[in-house]
Amino acid sequence: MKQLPKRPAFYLDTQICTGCKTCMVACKDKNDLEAGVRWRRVVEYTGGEWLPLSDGTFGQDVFSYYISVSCNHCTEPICVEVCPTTAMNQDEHGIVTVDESKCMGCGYCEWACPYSAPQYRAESGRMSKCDFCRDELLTGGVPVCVAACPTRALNFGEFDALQQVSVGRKTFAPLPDSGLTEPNAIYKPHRMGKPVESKAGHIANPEETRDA
Amino acid sequence: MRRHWSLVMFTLSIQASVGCLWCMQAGIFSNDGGDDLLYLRFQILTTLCLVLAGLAAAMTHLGKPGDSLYAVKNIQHSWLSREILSVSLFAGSLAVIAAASFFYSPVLSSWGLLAGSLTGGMALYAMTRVYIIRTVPCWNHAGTPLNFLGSAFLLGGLLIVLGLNLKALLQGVSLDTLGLEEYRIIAYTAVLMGFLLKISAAAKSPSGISPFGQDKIRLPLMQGCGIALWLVYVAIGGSIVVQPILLCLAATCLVAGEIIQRIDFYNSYQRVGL
Repeated sequence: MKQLPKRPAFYLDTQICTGCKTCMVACKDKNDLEAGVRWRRVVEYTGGEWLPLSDGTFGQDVFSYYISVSCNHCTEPICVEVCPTTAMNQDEHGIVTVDESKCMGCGYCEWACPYSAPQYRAESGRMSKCDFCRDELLTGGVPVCVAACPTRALNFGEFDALQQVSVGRKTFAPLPDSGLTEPNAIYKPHRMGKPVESKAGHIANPEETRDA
Repeated sequence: MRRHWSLVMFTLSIQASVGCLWCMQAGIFSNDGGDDLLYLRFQILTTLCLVLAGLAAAMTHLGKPGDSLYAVKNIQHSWLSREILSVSLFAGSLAVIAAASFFYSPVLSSWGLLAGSLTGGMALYAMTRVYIIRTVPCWNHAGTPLNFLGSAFLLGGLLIVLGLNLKALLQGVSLDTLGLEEYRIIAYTAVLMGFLLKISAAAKSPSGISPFGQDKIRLPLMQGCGIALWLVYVAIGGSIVVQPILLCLAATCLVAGEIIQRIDFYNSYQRVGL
């Protein structure tokens, strides 16, 4: 049995993420999630328009990039804060999990989480979420989403170590301001990445990312 | 987001009960010994039934209602825990007051309702705080408490007037000859105050927070129609035939407006981020 990493965090290089959704499928497959329940989602953020140029012709500033998001096991997890039953809890390593024996399925954590991490499972009547593949980590493996990523855009490690190698802004649209929950995730921005709160683009696949 | 009918029923019935109890409390304070115990018992029982119906509706919102015993475990941090505890205390205090009113009438005479009114106030405050979430800007503003307080006054006052009219109907007299005028004046004031709070709530809401959700709390138009009918009902006075009809129409508009606005409130849900 291996020791869990200290404050584990996901790392996503949005510059090389192709939006193939293999991570999402791997997660659904491993955890046997029913339709509509997605512990990991791939968000397509897109925008741009035609721009009149000085020579009378038109150019464009179209952009599109993908962000694979799951629970970020935040330092200040709002789901843990608002959960009335203490079913949502954070262990000493920083991994946030749901204690299914306590959860009454009120969905308040789902309301509050800006990453849509807690997901309601109609089958069990309780909330569910990413547990960082704790079982895999304990046997020396890696989270299945990371293992499945064909471009190696998705990775994981200890937050402090990842932060040292990361560059650029901490968050960008359509992710929320990181000050809200202090997520333990590093997203390497896309070269076309828009600032947080930017209205320049929109989520092009809402049906794949919204709560069920 | 799951269906929110149960939460619409829960929030409105608790707010109506709190408002009703506050009006009764104010009525008792302003009435020196001339209270009609039978009427007060009826009103307390109605309030209690409404709270119990609200709690039952809230249970249907849960995926596992059987595990709701754990719901107050995070009272240190979670406003939902505090809401559940305070609403339960409110229901408990109403049950005690209702039971005591049958065996020991002075409980209702002056300070008896105070505990109920205070726990009701706590429940209303906690209920409001549940929706003040830093990641949900469409609810996280002054419009939410104003909206909830407005509902409490408007529906609470309406409940009192409906109770008084029922009593007048059963006794076959007009409202003017029924007595209990303090209750009537307080209830009328509460309904108007509730409406004004609703208008202020609509004005306070932030605009343009989301491309998906509602930008503003809907203006209380239906309630406005109800208030117009209500004012005619108050002005017309004395008529046994026309007054109840006007009251029924006004009450229908007010309650329907409250339900529509609360559904709209839940539909406006839009958090920051994904």
